[in-house]
Amino acid sequence: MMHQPNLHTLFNPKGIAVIGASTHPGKFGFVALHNILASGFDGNIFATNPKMPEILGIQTLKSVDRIPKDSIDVAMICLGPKQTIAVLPELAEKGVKAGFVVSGGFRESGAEGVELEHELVQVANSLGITIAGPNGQGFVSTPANLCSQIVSPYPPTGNISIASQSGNILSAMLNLSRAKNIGIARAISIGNQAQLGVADYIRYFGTDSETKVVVAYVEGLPNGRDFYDSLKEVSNRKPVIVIRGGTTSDGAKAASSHTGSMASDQKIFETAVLQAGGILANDPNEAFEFATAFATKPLPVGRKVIVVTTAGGWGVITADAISRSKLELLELPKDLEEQINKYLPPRWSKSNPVDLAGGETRDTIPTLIPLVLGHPQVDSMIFLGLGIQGNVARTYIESPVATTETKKMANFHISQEKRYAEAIMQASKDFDKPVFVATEIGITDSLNAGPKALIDMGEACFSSPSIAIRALEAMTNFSDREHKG
Amino acid sequence: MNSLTEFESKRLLSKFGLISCNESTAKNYEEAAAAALEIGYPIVLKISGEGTEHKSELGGVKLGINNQDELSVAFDEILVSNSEVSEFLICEHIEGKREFIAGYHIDKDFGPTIMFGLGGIFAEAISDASFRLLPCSREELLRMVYELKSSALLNEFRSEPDVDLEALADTLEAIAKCGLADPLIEAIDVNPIVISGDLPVAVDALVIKS
Repeated sequence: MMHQPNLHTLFNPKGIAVIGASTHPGKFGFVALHNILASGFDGNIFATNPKMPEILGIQTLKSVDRIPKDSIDVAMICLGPKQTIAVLPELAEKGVKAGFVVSGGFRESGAEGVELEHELVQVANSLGITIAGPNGQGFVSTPANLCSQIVSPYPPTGNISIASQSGNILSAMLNLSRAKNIGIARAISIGNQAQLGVADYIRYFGTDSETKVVVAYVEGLPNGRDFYDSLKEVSNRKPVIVIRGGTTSDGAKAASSHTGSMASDQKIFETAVLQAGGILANDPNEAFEFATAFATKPLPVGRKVIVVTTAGGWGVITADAISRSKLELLELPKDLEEQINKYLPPRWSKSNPVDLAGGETRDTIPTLIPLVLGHPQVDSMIFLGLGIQGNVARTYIESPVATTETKKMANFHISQEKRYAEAIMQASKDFDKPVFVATEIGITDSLNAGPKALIDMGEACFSSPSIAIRALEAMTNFSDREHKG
Repeated sequence: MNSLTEFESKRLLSKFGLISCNESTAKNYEEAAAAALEIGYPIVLKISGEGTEHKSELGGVKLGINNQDELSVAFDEILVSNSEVSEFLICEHIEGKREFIAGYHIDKDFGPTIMFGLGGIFAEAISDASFRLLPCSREELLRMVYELKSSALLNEFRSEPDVDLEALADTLEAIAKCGLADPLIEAIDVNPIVISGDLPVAVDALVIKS
């Protein structure tokens, strides 16, 4: 099958041409060229425009036949539907293996569009060209420093790859990637799936060495079984997180059998994803939180969680959420309790959640984190309360009645927050166990030294214990499957 | 659409290993009485043959018939609302507190699927069912069974023993194999499966062909 090697070319081109480049910053053909130039792609870059203007310092070519043969293998096609089909043979002649078709006006637009889409696929097949789209917003490949899309943003480098049937949902996840500093490997708006289905992208991400975590947003499936098979193949090696759009409209439907009447689209879709070993997410935000966890943390080997908190109420909420999940709130081992006793005054909780109850001094948290995480019964940890000292620091810094002492204290708080974040990540690395930090302060004040230190390290800072627990649960389920084989 | 009768459906599924109740067909009262003696009372009398898929709604099912006199009365009652019926089914009466349903269905996106769910009088209100795409392993079928919210019913329940899970897996495998064996089979409903002692017994079944 030509598509898999051609997809590799699409995401790792030696040269790319924007076909139909525009001089107008509001047009697709301009934005695409701009983003390719701005992202620092260091392969060959060409652009065509019949009037041969200079755009962003690039001398455009009058037509495709002016592009040097074999200088490009990928085309970003920003032409109308008929011109797109007409240009394919010339592109093949130049050595193009894969093209992204931005234009709408195909299947989504009615009967004539359906015909055009058939023709597009036929022509592409006959030339051995792989077509992504049509009717999509483009693609991103950070290992190639390539942002070939007609929208924003360009995300940081990382190991999450996304195929999305909606361009906007893709942009939303790329926005989250930027805000959280959790990077992307490949991302593509798959459009009408004319020639390639979402399954083809999932398979490519499965074999792609730059991809550790796969995310797919799916509305309709041209071939459900193929999607299921692709999930099954890839889920053996990598987590595949699936978001489904358009599940709520169908309730029970007319069916000749009782069984058929119970088999709602949503139920069968969810069955297929889970049976294949995939991971279901409710929405793009949740999907990205899950992806973040998988991308940055070691897999837990079991279900036993310990909660360490400097914030009593959040500890209670977290314990409740764990009891509702399939995770297990570890009963605090006696030997661990005795060890913790050495570092805290007697008022600490002496149970899980380990609530420090304000008894901590300068070195307590950096000492306790590895002590607790290293205990052989602990599979994973949730840490609550990061940023509380940073909050005080902010108040002191903004204070109209600041003194030398408050300023000094603010600096101490800030350096402590950073120490805590570093101690957490170091312990996680040392013991190869995941630690989930959950704090609303990551959102309310992303400059707070605690959350900021995590974000700067490219580590996850979850906005609430409940989302951290769902992500941990997803990782634990995946890890369980891995161990079962 | 071209459904098999209940009798034909159960015979077909039995070839694949479905455990179903003892039963035989009869053309008239005399044959029914003879069949009832053979099976042993109590029995269930049902209308059979073409156009009887919704026999309960047609008043075509009489449960818990304990002797020949009751059979005679039940037979007359059934004929009042089903005078054109020319075939009857005499089935062993299966007693059990727990009922489940199972079935096969070809999904438009994902192809063949199997279902297992809670049956009985609360089934529609509670709607507790899980699915798997087919083919799948026996272990996967049992995972499907344990996904039910009401899976605790598979354990010892009101002095009835644990359900024989191997027998239940056999039943589900029979449904899966039967559906997959014939591309013309569009759907299968096995409803109810009554747990008799520890054994799941198919009391009614319907195979729908396109």
